[in-house]
Amino acid sequence: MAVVVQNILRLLVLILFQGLILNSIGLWNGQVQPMLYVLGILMLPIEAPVWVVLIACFFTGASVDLFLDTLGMHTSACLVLGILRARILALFAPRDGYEIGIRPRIDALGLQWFVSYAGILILVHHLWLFFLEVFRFSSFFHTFARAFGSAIFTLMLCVLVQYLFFFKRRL
Amino acid sequence: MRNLIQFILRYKDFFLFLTLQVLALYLLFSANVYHGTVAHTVARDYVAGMQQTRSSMREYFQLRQDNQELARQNQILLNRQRNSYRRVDNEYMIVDDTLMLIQYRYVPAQVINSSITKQKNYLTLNRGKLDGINPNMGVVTEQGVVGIVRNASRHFATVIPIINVSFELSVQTKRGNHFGLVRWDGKDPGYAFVEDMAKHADVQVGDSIVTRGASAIFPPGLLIGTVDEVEDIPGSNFHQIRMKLAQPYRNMNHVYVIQNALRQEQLDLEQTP
Repeated sequence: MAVVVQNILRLLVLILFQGLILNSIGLWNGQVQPMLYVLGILMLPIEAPVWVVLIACFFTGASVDLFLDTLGMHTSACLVLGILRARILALFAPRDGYEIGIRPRIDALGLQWFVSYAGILILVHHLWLFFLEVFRFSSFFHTFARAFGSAIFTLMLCVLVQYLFFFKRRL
Repeated sequence: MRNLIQFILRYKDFFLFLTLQVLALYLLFSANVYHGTVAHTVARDYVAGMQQTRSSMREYFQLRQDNQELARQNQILLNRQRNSYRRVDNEYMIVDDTLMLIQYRYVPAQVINSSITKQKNYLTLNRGKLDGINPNMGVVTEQGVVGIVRNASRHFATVIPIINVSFELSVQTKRGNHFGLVRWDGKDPGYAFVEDMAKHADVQVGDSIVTRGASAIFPPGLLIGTVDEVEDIPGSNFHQIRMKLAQPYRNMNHVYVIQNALRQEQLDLEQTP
């Protein structure tokens, strides 16, 4: 039960942070924009069933959409992220599988693991999001560059937030 | 039947994904219908409330610029006061009487939420129907045109700014009164394009682009931007004009909504077959 509350709280904080602060931050005239709220989905427990993840994705995306007034856009991108998460987790699993109760964080599984896991998912999410927004392929490379730049920005923020807030000090 | 249920149970995650995804895309592509629904309006009101708190916090950081801007406007208004003028003749006198009818009224409003990074950018204002704001009213600042009111709830209104790919406005050059159409290409929020201006029109870099007052939204002659680049593509009948927008969209705070008292009358007349 505590885990559920913890995850919901983390999602709420990240959504509010995204909606009220991060949305006003953008590099190069706002062409590159971080979407830190995906960290909330990336950090859901590894053993969470896919349908729970999907429902969490739906509500997270819908809340961010409310802030940005882009009904459905972030919801759709989040759902893609949610369905792919299990596959990517399986892809990067250690040889003997994940330990029970281990969390998808840097302090538990290492920086390299986290960057490859989060990097791929964030990139897919951003590509989906930005192409859905533009909804044409005419300025393909412009949109691609925006998505790619934003993905790198988001990934850097995710790693930073992990080091700042979610690091268990080991003596 | 049992097999079917087993099949669905086996792929329940995928079916859930499909259902939710279809729902999301449906919401996205019929957004204009759903903007009006009760659930969305209620949720939007909560979000708008939070955004207003944030914007009221941010206002403190802009007090200096706001004060300077207000002082500048005060100066302009004081200069216009009647007792700042001296009569130059004694023969004629101008009297403001009932022959003059107010057509345009300006309602001050504050931008409580805005975006410049998307293809379809919107602004939210802290005025709504109760303040007399209705869809299709013009929004301006002292620098120039901002956009057009799209939707109004009781206390808030959303605005389609020029930097929204679905924005369109009929304009003209100030110098030659040549007509054109303003659109935005979705890239740089500082620039927009004037389309459909015939090639014979004489347009130079630096010319002012102003409103035409054609669709009863803006009064004629309000500044929108200045011509930044004129490109003539061979084989086309139109100029390709890039325009620097007069109103920078970053850090926009105070705007005015224009009520046109004669709008309905004009529209009614124009619709008469």
